[in-house]
Amino acid sequence: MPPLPVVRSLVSRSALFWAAIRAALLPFGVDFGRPASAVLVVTLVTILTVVAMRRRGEHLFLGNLGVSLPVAAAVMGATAAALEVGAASVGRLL
Amino acid sequence: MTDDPRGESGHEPEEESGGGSRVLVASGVGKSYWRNTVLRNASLWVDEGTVTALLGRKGTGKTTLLRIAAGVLRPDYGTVMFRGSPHSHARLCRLAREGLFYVPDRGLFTGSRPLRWFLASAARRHGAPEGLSWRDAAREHGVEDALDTEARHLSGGERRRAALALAELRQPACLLADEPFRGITPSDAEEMTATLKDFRDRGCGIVLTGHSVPEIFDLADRVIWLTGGTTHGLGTPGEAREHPPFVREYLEWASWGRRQPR
Repeated sequence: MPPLPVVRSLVSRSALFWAAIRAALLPFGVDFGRPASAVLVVTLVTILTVVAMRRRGEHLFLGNLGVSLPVAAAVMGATAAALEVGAASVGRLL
Repeated sequence: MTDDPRGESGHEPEEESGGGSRVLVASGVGKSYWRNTVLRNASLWVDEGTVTALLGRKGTGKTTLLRIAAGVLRPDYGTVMFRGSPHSHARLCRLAREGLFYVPDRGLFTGSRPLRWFLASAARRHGAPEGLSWRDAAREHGVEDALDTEARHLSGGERRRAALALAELRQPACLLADEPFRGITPSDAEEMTATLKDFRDRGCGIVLTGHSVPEIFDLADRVIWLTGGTTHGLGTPGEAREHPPFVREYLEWASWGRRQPR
């Protein structure tokens, strides 16, 4: 498991990407609560955050700490999935 | 499809004997980028408590070989052996857990987070060595004043000193440093040399690349010359200076480069 500061950083970045992707998909009618749209958004968040990390070379710092990129991707994907579930639950309550 | 020239001009790492036990061996490594073959049957090795200098002109594949040895890049063929265990698909995270530390030319400290974030994360991950906090490591390596500086604004010298502070927290068995003397002041270079000697004296096997021949020869116990995509073990720096092709094709080129105005 990555150290706590790294997890916090991964979670906040993932949340930012999730919000941006959700906002970008709104005009296309991709709404909350549908499993297909949730899978699409989680996949996009995971891929884009990993690409951003690699472009900036952050995987070298994580690698030196013994944290693999798939583990970091899993943390970011899980964050996006949790946000999807949360948003869908709020939508149902409303 | 890449030709596999293993066996043509391969240099067996076992031919050269070192001081301690062999900590890292990358042998028979080949790598091509698209149709451009960079490495052909190249090898790299380092023993405990010794410094290996990997030298060669620009664009000969030093960084590629170092990245393969560090598990950052996958070779087309060849193997990496770290502390006696073969890694057919070596990955940095796995090698790092076993005691390897890789200092890339750039990319270790990126983004808007302050330097303290990187050091504190490393200390939390592995627990700082006994009696050494991440603040002590920062102080020891002269980056205490840069702890609140955003990583992207660190100078070249600060980056390299911070990388060594990070390595200090990890206490690696093997340190791979890509061009550690590039873009730093003479006083930083002196400090860097002293720090690397300290790592070596504690049993760490070090591989260095770069073109700062005086500093590197001062440190190195063994010289490996990379030319034409293959490596040649030249022995000690003194023996390397007696190797005419190396002197003609590399040392004269490197010393000419140092005389040019920057």
